[in-house]
Amino acid sequence: MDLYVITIISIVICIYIMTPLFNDHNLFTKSGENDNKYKNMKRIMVLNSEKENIYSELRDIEFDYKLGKITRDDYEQLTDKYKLKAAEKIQEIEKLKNNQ
Amino acid sequence: MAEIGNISVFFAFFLAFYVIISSFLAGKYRNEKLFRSSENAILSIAILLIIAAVCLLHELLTLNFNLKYVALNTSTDLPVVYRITSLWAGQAGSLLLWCLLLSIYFALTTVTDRYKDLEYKPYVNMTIAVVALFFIFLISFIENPFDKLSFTPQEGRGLNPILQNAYMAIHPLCLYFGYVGVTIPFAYGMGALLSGKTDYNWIKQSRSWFIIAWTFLSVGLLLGARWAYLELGWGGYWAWDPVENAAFMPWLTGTAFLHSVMIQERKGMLKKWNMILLITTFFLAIFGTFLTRSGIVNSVHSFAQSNIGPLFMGFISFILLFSFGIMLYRSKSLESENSFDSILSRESAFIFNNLLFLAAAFAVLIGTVFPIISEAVSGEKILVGEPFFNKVNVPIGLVLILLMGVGPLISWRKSSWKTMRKNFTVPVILSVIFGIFIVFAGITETVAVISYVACFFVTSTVVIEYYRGISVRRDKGDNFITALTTLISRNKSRYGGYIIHIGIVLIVIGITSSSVFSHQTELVVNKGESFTIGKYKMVYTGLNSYVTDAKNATVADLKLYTNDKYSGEMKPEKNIYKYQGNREINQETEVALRSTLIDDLYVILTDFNTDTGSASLRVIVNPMITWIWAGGLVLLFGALVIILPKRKKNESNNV
Repeated sequence: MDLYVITIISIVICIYIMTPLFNDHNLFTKSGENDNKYKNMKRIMVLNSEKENIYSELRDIEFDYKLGKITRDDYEQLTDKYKLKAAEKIQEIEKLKNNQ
Repeated sequence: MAEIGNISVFFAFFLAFYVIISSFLAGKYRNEKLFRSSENAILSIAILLIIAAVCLLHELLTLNFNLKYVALNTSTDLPVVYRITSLWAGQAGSLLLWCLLLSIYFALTTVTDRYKDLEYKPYVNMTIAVVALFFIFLISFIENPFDKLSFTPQEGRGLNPILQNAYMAIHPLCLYFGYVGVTIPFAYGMGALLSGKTDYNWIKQSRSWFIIAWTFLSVGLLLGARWAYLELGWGGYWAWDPVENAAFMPWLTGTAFLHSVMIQERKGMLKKWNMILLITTFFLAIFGTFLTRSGIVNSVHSFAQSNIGPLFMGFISFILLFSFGIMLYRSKSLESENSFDSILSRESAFIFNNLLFLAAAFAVLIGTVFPIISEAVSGEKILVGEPFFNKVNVPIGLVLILLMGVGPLISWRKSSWKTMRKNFTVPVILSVIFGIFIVFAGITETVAVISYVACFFVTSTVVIEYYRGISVRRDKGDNFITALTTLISRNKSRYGGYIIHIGIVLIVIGITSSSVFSHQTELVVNKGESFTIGKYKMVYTGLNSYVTDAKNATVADLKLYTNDKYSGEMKPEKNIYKYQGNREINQETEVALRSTLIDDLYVILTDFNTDTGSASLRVIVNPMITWIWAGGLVLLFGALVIILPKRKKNESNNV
């Protein structure tokens, strides 16, 4: 009985593991003409992540200023610095989108 | 059922191989079919190991003594709940548990990350599968829990009496979830290095999984301390036992990582440092597992002498060589993207905190392995005891507590002397006043004064942070409750972290009080005699005994009076267990314990004389020890605040 049970489990598992090998679906690119498009897409995703990170930094700077942890001058200096970084990311994203 | 379990383990072993190869090929050739197939194999490994664990549980519950593991760890008189916990009482069963928990974590990373990070996920899977392969190899070929005896004994050896405790039901599980869980963030780090995708995403994933593992490690350590306090009968909860240290070291380096990772997320800095911390924490987790199992250290936790030590050493060496090798290979991609805006910043405070955590971890490591090294070099085992560990770690701990208070008061990126003067004035003045007050109240021990003042300082900074944050929200029109909940939910890491800090403060207060102000007495009492310790008076009324299926118990009956008011009975026991258990002890004390927030009264029956009716007692008063356990609950709450997912982003992104 134990042998029958484990045999059935093994067969089911093997089918489960092998099934994706016979599907057509492929999210990864194949080499060739789509490589650049894929690289651009990945670069845009990375830039979007970095942009969101900068926005989070800006929210933190504003929060720290409201909590009285940084002076007005430091607040403005840091805000300008990070806004400039965000603008650079946005510019690069737009450039990549236009190239696609 | 044993056969099903055995074959499941072997099948899981081969599937782990398949995952390694298919993941590698999927990552190298970017083949999604292989990737999906490998992910299905990962889920299958979890299913097979669950089946194996269920089979072993079945054999334990039905007391199939034909299985060696069941015969060694159970007996006919063992209550059902301890038959379940005996799953992790022995070497082979606990290794199976390790594999099971790793496979569950592995499956969770697959299910939760199924459509993200496909660039480097195959390499993450490959790394986890390598670790899984090692441990499944151990339970398949070296310490197989399904090994059979050539005969079927009538009775099992029984479970070690000190493991028959409710905390043993959850302490190992928690600790294992912590140890095992460290594999996942490590794998994300390796995935980033192997694929070359060392951008922002891997560190986010790493941190999310790391906080879960860290929480389990923290709770596991505290549960272990609680178990030691209740079961080992010496009145303490931490002895710098090698196996305790083995769990503490990854906690120290892991805590450093949780702080420095915030710098990498915000500024793209400290990438190499964080990778080193990740590798070191994983190494210490595997090293801790090795220490518990190899038999090279004497510890109350140690399993029996075993031949898996050399295999562990080989695996640890491979991990270190490979991890640091690949890190060196990719070192260019780990260069910092930014520089510090100012030395007066939270970033600087975090770096200082990191150095202190690492210094503590290094000191604990040296103290733990020194006996092994001294024996290997000189043939003589030189033990390193509490004085060394306390001498080194107490000052480091006190500075870390102070930093916990300093960090919240300075901003990220840049602070000025003007804002620092403004933010520090109130908490520093209050702390100084508090310090003067406690000295005048009679607390003159230097370590205690510094510790209490530092804890007060941290508490005041956290209260001020919450007050200011709530005020900012209330200026926008929120009521108090809405302001508080919105503040926490929009800044979970920050304000959840502050709650964890309060938990640590409570733990430190408990440790300080019970270490510095504990007092004890040892005495022999005859029937009718009374004795006093502090505000407690006890009257010894005689010995009693009772018998159960498992043990012969002798009880000392004591009537307790607190400040001359009757407050109940204390009944410490000394038990002789009928079956030997896993170790060569068959005697065990059950302490009598009375806990309040002020102190614990802890009574141990060390010996008795049935002819004269006298009892030898050790009585300890441990001030504020309950604060340690309460601090653990607060720490857990703070961790849950950080771990639980954010609400959906359909609200404004403004503070």
